[in-house]
Amino acid sequence: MQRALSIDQSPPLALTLPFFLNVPLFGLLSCALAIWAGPDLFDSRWHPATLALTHAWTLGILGSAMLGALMHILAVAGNIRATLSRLSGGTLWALLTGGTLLLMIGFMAWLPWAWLLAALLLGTALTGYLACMANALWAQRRRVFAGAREILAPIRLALLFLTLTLLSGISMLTALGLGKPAPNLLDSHMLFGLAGWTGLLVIAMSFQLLPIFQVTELYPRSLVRWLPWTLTGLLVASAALQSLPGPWLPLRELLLYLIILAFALWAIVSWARLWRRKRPNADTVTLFWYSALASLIVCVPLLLWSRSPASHDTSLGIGILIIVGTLGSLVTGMLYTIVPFLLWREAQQAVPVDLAHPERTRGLLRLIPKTGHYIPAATARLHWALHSAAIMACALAALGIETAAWIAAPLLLTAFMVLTWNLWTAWQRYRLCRQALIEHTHSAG
Amino acid sequence: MTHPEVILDVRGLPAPEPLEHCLEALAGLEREQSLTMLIDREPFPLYAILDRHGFRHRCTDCGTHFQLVINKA
Repeated sequence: MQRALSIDQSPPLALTLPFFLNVPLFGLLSCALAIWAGPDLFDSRWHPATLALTHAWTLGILGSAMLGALMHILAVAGNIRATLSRLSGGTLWALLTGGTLLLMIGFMAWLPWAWLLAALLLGTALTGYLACMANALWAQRRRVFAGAREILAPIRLALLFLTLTLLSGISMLTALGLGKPAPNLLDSHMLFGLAGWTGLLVIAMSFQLLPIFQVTELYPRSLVRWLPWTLTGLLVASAALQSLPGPWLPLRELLLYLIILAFALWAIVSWARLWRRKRPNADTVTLFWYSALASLIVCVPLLLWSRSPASHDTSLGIGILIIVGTLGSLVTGMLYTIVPFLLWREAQQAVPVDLAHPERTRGLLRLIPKTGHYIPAATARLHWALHSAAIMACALAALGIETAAWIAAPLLLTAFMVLTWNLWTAWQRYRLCRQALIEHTHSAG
Repeated sequence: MTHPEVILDVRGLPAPEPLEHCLEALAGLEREQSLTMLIDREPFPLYAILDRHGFRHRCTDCGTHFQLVINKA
């Protein structure tokens, strides 16, 4: 007896699934925190609860999902395997999760010891991850699939920006924890984290994933080749100008506009490709893509409006649209593709092949649900509708609309509850399928 | 009598459906049969799976799609 076709050699389910389960975990936690903090949360981005929530999102939700997804996608789409054992992967996950929780507590209660401990845990987790990925990307550079070479440059750049985000974050956190003046790295930290690490990674992934999973045309070759490098140049120039005095302000402003416009260009090209995709029916993941791209495109007029003297402060609204609207939609939408695929793959690999009786193998394979059947389409769409309504409510609340501030957190909480239910349903289907496989294998034997 | 060639048209299907269909078809492939798959993009990850399990494969670019012929080695 041998196992049925092993699908790939990407990290096992036990290694990446905990990273993906951080999405509903930190989602529910951040909503409970938002409800507890009340509408004051939308007054300033420096409110302790807002700082805690920002890091629950960037590290707990987006960070966890992207670290897990990168390991998986590099293996499946690029033939590059991060060599992490279950123990080292589990340790990495525990350090990241514990460090994020400590950071949130540190901001909420203003506890210097919590900041220092969070800096230690997060620093260890992310340094370990970066070292593992750098080693895999270097050691396996010659075996990359021919079609995946174009995404490797932006992925390397994204990892470089993750390193810079980590260094700037740890420097500020350590200085704060030790009671010393924090270095003025906040703008660079946000730019490196949001536009460099997550932005470049999302762009790199989209070049491969949108045509494959949403069946669209390929992105234009010139965009694939030049956009990541242009963005990198703009981000580095912008960071270099951060510490220069007032007269450089117009140039810094110009660079910020160019960065936003570069992302908007990618969003418009992606939207056009999705609009003309080959499948007429939009599945849930496609809908999440639309919400993500719409959130990003809306940031452009909002940014322009924020420069007019009559405008309200829109920085918090833009932050919400980028973190919850764009990146949050992409990450939660991605779970509907990646989690069923991982469960299906794990079930496939559990099927024993009986070479003398291929019909038995075929019978066992038929017991495994197709990837589209792990999560019901109706509840997945319900999640998308609630999530999209929550984005609008959060953005309007940040722009000063009081009614929206009262409903934003409960809406988001309901959305994350539906997501949790959907993932639980997928897990139950997988467990039932494994049970059925065992019973049929025994009865056939 | 079994047909010597199995045709699998997975054009227009999003990932991982082509892979699902292909693995299902491979599990039922008799020794003398070949599987011809019509697909939108060249399926690089599939090659590694086929190599690992002793299948021969030949891919042709047909302009609008790719044609992948798979045989038992």
